[in-house]
Amino acid sequence: MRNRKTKLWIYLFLLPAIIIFLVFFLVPIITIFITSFTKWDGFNSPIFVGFKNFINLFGKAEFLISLKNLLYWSLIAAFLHVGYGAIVAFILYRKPFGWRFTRSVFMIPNVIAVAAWAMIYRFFFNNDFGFLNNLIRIFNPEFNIPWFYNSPYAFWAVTLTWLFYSVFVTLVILTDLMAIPDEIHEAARIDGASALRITFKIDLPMIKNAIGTGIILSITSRIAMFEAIALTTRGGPGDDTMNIPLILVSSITDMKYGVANAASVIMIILGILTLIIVELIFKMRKVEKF
Amino acid sequence: MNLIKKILSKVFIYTVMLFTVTVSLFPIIWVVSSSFKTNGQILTQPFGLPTALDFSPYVKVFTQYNFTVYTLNSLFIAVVATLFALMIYALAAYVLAKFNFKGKSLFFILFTLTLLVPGHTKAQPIFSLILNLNLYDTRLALILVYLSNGMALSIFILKAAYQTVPKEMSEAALIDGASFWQIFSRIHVPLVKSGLVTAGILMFLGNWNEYFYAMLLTSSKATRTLPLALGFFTETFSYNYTEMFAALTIVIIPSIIIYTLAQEQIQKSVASSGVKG
Amino acid sequence: MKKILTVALIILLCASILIGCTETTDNSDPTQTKEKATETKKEATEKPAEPVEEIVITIPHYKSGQNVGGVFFLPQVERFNEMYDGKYELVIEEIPQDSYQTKIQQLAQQGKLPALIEGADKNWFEDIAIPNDMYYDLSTWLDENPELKARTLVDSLGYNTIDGKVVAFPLTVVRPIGLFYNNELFTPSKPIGELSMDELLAEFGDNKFAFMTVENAWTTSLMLTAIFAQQDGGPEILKEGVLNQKSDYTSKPFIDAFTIIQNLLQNYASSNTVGAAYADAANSFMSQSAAIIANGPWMVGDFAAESSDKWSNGFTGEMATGGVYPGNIAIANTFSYNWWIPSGLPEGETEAALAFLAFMNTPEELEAYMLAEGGTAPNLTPSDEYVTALSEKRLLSELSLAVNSDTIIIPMILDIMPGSVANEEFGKLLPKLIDGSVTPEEFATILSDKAVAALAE
Repeated sequence: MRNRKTKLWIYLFLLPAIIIFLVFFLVPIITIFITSFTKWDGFNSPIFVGFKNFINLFGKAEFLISLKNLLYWSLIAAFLHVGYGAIVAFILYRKPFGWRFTRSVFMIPNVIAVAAWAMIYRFFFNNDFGFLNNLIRIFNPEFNIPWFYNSPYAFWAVTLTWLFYSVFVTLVILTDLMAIPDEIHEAARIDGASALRITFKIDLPMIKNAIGTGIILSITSRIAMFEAIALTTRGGPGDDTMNIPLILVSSITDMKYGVANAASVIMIILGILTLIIVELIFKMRKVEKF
Repeated sequence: MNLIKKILSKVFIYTVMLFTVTVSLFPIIWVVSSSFKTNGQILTQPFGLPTALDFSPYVKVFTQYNFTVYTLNSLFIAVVATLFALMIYALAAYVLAKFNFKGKSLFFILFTLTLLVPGHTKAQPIFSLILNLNLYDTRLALILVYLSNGMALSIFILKAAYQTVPKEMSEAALIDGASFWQIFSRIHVPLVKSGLVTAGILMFLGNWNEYFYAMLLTSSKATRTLPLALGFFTETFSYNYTEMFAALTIVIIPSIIIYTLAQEQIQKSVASSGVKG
Repeated sequence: MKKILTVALIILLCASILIGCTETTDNSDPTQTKEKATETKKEATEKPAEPVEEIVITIPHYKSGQNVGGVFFLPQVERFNEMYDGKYELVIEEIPQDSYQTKIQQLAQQGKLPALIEGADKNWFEDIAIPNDMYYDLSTWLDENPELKARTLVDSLGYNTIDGKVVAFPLTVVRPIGLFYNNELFTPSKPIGELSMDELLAEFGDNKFAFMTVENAWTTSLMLTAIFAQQDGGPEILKEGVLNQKSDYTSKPFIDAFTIIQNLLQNYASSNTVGAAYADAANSFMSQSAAIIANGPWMVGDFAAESSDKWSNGFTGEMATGGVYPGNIAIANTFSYNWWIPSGLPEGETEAALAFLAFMNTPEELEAYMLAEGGTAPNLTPSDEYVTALSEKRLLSELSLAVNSDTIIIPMILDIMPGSVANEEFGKLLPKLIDGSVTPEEFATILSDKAVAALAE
């Protein structure tokens, strides 16, 4: 079947996606890369300045803080966020009582607009009438911490707005778990393997692609995390919860499109690095040959 | 011994499930119950349940905004964009997962790149494109833009799903004389149904909640979507926490209802697809 | 058979996407807004079937829907449409206030600006709009309408005149910003303007200020400005800085002012200050949790009976008294860009836009505006009706009496900072000043560094 006809089919299948890519991404990507080396106000013609925008970025305290935050957030995402999602997926796979309900409910935070969710959390963490502080005040009436506006709590308050909401990871893993043929489990059970052993020796290796996908998705969402911060701490107090997209947006506000696009380039490079590293670790490239 | 192990595992399972349900539902219940309290009650009795079911804040919010139109707009735009996107990416992900061909890595890397292009930097070229197409302030403009939004995510999910289909199945079909299209439509599509549903839900939700491009590309009330309406709330109702919570509830509830309705469909399609075999 | 069908489907799919995109060439009519305008017009004129062509201009504006600014603005637009019925029609499209400038700047990049725009980011306007001739020069039109020109403020006209061209319509009304206090919680021995800051605090007791830290920390920044204006050299720095933005805030008047505001924020601030947005600060004042709020005269609308749904905890509008800041200081900035018209509009639309600018600044409309949102028009002789109506408005008369010839009127401290520092960094750093993790000196240094970076090329 490795003939011209198959080849034609392959490219025909790719064509619609390629067109969308060309129209909606190629022009922006090229613009971003070229103008990241220029001084550009978004209106007049850009002026070439070499690596100046990148050097400027790395000289900014808020950029270095963003990189540090991103490192922590990525680690938290890869281990705790994805880990939690995986645990829930394995539990749901066993179909305990109420699993459908749990799966449905778990999705709800992700059904709601990020803006609404951020607002809910802003109220939830409010120092005056927020739920959390009032709960703590039952035990310690003097307690008063403005979670989103006080370091080091702000970092963790922002983290909590997404940490446990890993339903995407759960769904991706659950999809793969369900695709594992029953015969394999059957055979293992007949050989006397315990449930835990089956999970670790059979299921985990078979869903490593899904875990890899989950990690890539959750880390790249951290790189792009904007609304959850912009609508709560706005990167504060000071620069404690800054992230690269906030620098990008404030550069656009200051009409520094060159700097903004240099930040975009760095985000894209970080994303590619994540992709490469995760693929190497999980050996995701091993595709069955057809 | 075995019994203790069993009990422990049950305790663990239900603790995790209870925790999951709590973190997912509690903030919303808190918002809804607060919307029935007075401003004073919200500030002084955060744990108290509302004393009466007073719907007047809802009536006020509802009479001031045309929710039916916004909900229908959001629904129409999100559904159409999701369906088309799903078709397009199901095709692309299939060949990326199952074949080796010239430029495969390049295409995969390019498609993945789209995940990493920040939305704000795309704004300028996309805005100019939409204006040139004369689509400014139309639903079609948003549909086109949303078509491109789920690209990397759905190709990821679908590619992973296709890869779980054993190659023996296609080989057998090939021997039986099945064509390229038949192997795709008869063997793979039914087997990756749950992957399709997952990708579809994720894209739908992304579209349903999108604010930035909705703000940029539309201007009239006829094309306004729900997330944009929320943008108006924050400045209008923020004086009065009760109304603020009521407004939040109104934005949240349709999402949950639509999701619940779709959820049943999803359960059915997953169950009937016989994925497990 | 089925295969052919699929191929056809895929091709159709591609084609539909492609067509969507190649349409660019044959459909790229630059006058899209005009088309839309004529479309609306057709609908509008269908009913009366009038021979005269009505010119319809559609503009996005945040003073619409439920926005506070819409309370006066929308009826004003209605009055305009009534007056020019059959000739001009102005249609307002709602947009959230936060998104207005973003949208205008994006439309400007595409050369699709609406016919009327209110306000502009100073740096954007000076660096992009003016050098690229995006504005319609109002000088000829103003010269042809000497009465209108005479109503504009000299300072503002000067500021808006660049190389002999008038880039935006100058201010006709100045609204000095002062404060409101709750006269039941707190009774000063003299009008607040005659007290010093220390005397005020001595009399203040356990009362609180309605402060905030989110966005540009508006109510807090106003009080900081009033404090800064009392430091040696403060007023001069403000007046100079509004023309040439400052990036060094480490001199003595700044440090002293930061030290005083830190004390106020730590000891005299309402309990919700950290993380409070403007609405939260307003809420503190209108629920008796705070006794003073710094804000402009437009807030009187919140103290009128129609706004009673914003009051709680026994607060009533009667409890609010207006005044200026300690040391007889009020805040106003006449150096700003306000309403402007883009260049390159069809003639009819320009005329309609000009007609609206003229309409807003007729004596009747100005007086109606001042009765609704406060302020004074120095170059307008008030009508008798206006004087009577004003005397019936307790708060507005209090405010206009509080501002006397000795009042020091200065621009706001945020106006001398680059936009990103004023609107983002200042508010973001305040929580650290409040919890004491930065000293006033460190506060000044960090802000200065941010300002230097923002102003750097």
